[in-house]
Amino acid sequence: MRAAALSEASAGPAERTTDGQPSPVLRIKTVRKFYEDLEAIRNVSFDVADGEFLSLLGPSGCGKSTLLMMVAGLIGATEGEISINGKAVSGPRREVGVVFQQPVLLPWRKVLDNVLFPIELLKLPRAQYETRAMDLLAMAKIADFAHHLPRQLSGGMRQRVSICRALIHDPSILLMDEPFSALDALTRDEMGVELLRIWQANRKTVIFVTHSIREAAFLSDRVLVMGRRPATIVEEAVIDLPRPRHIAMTEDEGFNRYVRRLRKAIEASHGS
Amino acid sequence: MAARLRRYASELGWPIGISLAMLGLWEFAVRELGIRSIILPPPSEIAQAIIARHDLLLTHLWPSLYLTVVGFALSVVGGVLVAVLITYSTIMRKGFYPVIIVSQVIPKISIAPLFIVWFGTGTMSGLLLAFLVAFFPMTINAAMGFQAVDEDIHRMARTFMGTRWQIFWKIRMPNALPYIFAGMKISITLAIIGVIVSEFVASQEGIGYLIKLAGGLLDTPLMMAAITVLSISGLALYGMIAAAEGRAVYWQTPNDIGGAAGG
Repeated sequence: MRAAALSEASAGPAERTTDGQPSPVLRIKTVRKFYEDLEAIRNVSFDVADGEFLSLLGPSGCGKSTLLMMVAGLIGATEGEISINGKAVSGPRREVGVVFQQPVLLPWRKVLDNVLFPIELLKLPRAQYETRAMDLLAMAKIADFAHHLPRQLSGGMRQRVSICRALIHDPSILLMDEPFSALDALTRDEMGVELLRIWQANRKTVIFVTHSIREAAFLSDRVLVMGRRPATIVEEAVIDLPRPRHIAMTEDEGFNRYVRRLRKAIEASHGS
Repeated sequence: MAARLRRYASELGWPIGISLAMLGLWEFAVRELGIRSIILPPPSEIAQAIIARHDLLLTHLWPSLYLTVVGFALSVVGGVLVAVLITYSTIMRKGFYPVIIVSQVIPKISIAPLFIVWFGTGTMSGLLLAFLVAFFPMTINAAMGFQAVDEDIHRMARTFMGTRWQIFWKIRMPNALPYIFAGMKISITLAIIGVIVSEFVASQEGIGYLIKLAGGLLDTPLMMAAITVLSISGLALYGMIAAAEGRAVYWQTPNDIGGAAGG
């Protein structure tokens, strides 16, 4: 279905592609990245639709985080183009929120002030966003800790704060770089469910980088599997499972079929 | 609160107990062995000297404290400013910073006589020596603090479009605070040494001068009294900084602060 969007159809802002689909929020077009002579990413192209939950799945060090940081505008592409809402990305942008592998909270700021940090940096009126911050914290079930310091929180709670921080300025795209990989397995499953709940309430476009096959299959509308060095997309899987999703679904045959398919794709890319 | 007080009491109880025991032993030994007070006065006699001659002691203590505090304050301001330059200027970081670190090896106190030659026997020499010895640890600690910002935090601020100015005030500065306080605790001690040494070398006033004078007069109780008063003052200055640190660096536990001081 989305394979058509992968082709080189012309697409300006607000234009529609030939098959009548809305133009994508994010378009990545034949992106390559070299670090000196080392080719890190080769010819990666894909579109992400508005409100889509897309996962980039691949082994550690395959370049998927690099790709995400390029979308965030922190790293430039050597070749190709990344555009958000039709505009080329040349640096960090307001419509993007990022959640990192570590919560990266400022230890001297209370939880609420950490959530409001982007508002300060973007020079937006803080008072107007305080209610929103509290709403986000409530949605993430940590409103009671708004006036605590990060060190008083558990790892999972800190990552919830960092998700609230990424959403505070109401970005249209949420980039998540292995956000749960530092958490224990139980917390991790729980955070996945929580994230979907928050996502369903906000309907952001999410690009989620992970090396967990199950996590990718459980969360996503679509999973792109990236092969190793130089990174390319070796498989695309549309996860056609009903939402809202529950942890119990991971026992189902339907779910596990996707897991096997994704695993096979990763293993095949290793062999090559 | 009560629990905290009890913790302080149990932490302070041991060192205070040991100190009192040693003072008692000192008093006892001096009396029993009949050591003359010109060699080693017992604590009681030192206490008497402090009370009897508090006017003289205070007269000489104030100028020393004044020079210490001013020299220290200048070293904090100067050290932090130079640390900012080191953080943002490549020339300063690559050229100047290594020189500062290497110059730590030089016993800067040894140039006290040179300062007397240059700036005379007045307060200027004492002030500059205090500043000089306190400046280096201040600079090194502050520069370390400004630069020790976690790369992830830096990246996070950049994705939210933080400017260099914002990153300095909202991230680097608070990040450097524990390091700056660690530097201040080293520097205040060194500033006192700087002032006292310059007073030893050439001065007509100050607690260092008084110590030297009492030594020349073989008035050992006065000398010990001066040393005691000086030590208590130094302890008070250090305590004030530590108390300010506890308030300013509220996000760290006391154990973390100890760790930062080592760095």
